[in-house]
Amino acid sequence: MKIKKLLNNTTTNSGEQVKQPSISIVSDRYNEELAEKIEKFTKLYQNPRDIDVGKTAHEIVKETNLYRLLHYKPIFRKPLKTPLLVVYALINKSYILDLQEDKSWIKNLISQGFDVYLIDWKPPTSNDKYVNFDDYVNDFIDDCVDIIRNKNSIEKITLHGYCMGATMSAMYTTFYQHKIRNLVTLAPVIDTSKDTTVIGNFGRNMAADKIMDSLGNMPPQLLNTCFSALKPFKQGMNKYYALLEHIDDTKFVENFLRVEKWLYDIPPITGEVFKQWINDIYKNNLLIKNELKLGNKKVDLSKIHVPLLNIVAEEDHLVSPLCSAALNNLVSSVDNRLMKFPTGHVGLIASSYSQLNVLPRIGKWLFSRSA
Amino acid sequence: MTDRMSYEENYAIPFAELLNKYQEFWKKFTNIPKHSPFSLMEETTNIGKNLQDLLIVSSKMQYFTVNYISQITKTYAEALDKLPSNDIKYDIKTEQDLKKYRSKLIGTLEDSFTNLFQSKEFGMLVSDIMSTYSDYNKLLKNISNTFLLSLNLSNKDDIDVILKEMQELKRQVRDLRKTMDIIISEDKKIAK
Repeated sequence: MKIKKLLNNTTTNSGEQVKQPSISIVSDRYNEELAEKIEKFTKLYQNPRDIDVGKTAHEIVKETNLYRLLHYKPIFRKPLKTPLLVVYALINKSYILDLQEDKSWIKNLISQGFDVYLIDWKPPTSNDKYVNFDDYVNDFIDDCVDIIRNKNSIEKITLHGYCMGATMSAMYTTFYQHKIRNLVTLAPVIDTSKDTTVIGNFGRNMAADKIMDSLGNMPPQLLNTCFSALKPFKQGMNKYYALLEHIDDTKFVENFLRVEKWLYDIPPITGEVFKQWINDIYKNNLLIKNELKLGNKKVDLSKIHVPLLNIVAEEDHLVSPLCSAALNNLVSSVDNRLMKFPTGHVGLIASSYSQLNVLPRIGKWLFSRSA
Repeated sequence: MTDRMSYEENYAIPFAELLNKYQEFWKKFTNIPKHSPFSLMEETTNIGKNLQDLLIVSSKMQYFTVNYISQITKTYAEALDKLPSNDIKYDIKTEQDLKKYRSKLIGTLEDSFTNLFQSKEFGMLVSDIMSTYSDYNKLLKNISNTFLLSLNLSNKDDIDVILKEMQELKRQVRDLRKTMDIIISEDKKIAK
């Protein structure tokens, strides 16, 4: 009754009364069921349980203070000859790629016969504020690539990045082409002048230098402020209605909690990386001008000659499809393919849709290039 | 009657002008000479100055936050205005009716808020909020630095210099290691 009274008293800024539905709502039975569901919902949030993620069997090949190189146990005795290194983004955690058994990006690749490695970035501390893209690309990724090459006694591997990880993979390939057989990018941030997302808008207006000079690293709370502006109602609010409706469906609840855990598991981003990301990539769009500098070397995307598969999500609200698709026009690869899928940024990697539609096509493209 | 400005009057004054007046007023108290014996008082006067700045930054934060909330509220009200007019009754009798209404409401809110969040003005406002938040942090750091100094402890700025140099050294070591690797592999090739 209180809610009804409050709603009926709400007015718009023009002074008119806000229109409300005639809330003779549904039935007493519906209301009772709803009250029961709300109680269960409250209990679920008040008593958080452990949520299992990243369960695919793996070994840690190398661990430093900023990353772990994971090697997933192959299913086949003889996996495909060219190993595949997945470079995850510096935003949120890499276990989204291995969230649960039936939606695991990693597990699917293994089951297709690939020998899969993953760089699992660790949260930087305030002591790491001066770590920049030069370190991530020329030190950490290069280290991992060399470890895999030595371990498998091969010259070249497949580099496979997602989001910011795809951008870093492209940067890496421009410098170390002799170590890369194929480049597979998922939703890379490339031409930010074509980015129309809320994140792009915030990025272009952000005084990154000033903020980082004071805060050191980009804290999770501020990052979350930006992310929460992405589809705040359709995804931010509607998902809780969906949870309420499916509160008795154990599988749904488990899936929901895993994604929810990931969404708010936000590590900080080092101050120097954040400054480069905002100033060089979002504000000045240096990547497409071939003017982005890592250390004393310029990133020239036109130097990429290796086979490229660029995958774009048509409903991506974090990285505009046109922003990602620009990569195909900037490289010199003859074997150059762009694939588009009608899904979102996260749906591209962690959904039933991606298992059924995206991964089989990636596998098919890579198979002949990995033997 | 009080001599205090009403909320409406206060709100009408451009914010920057208000801040300038405030700063002008306090300047005469904090503008102490910086040489001769007065130079020894610098730390103390800095604390005073930082505290004063903290007040200004806090009021800026308040201003931007109020602006942020008003943008959100305005967008919310405008979104509700976009819903079908009052004479079309939402008669919710079944669960399906409720779902339909909810979907319509969420869709309308989503469109309005996405337009707001994608606007340059809102992007600048978010940046202003973050900048003032970082200013606030910086002032707190400045104030605490003064106390760390008197306790003979390194402050954050001192540590930052070391961290920066360490990172540079790490890069130099990495580059040296890579150069050595290239030389060794070339030597091996020649030996073969």
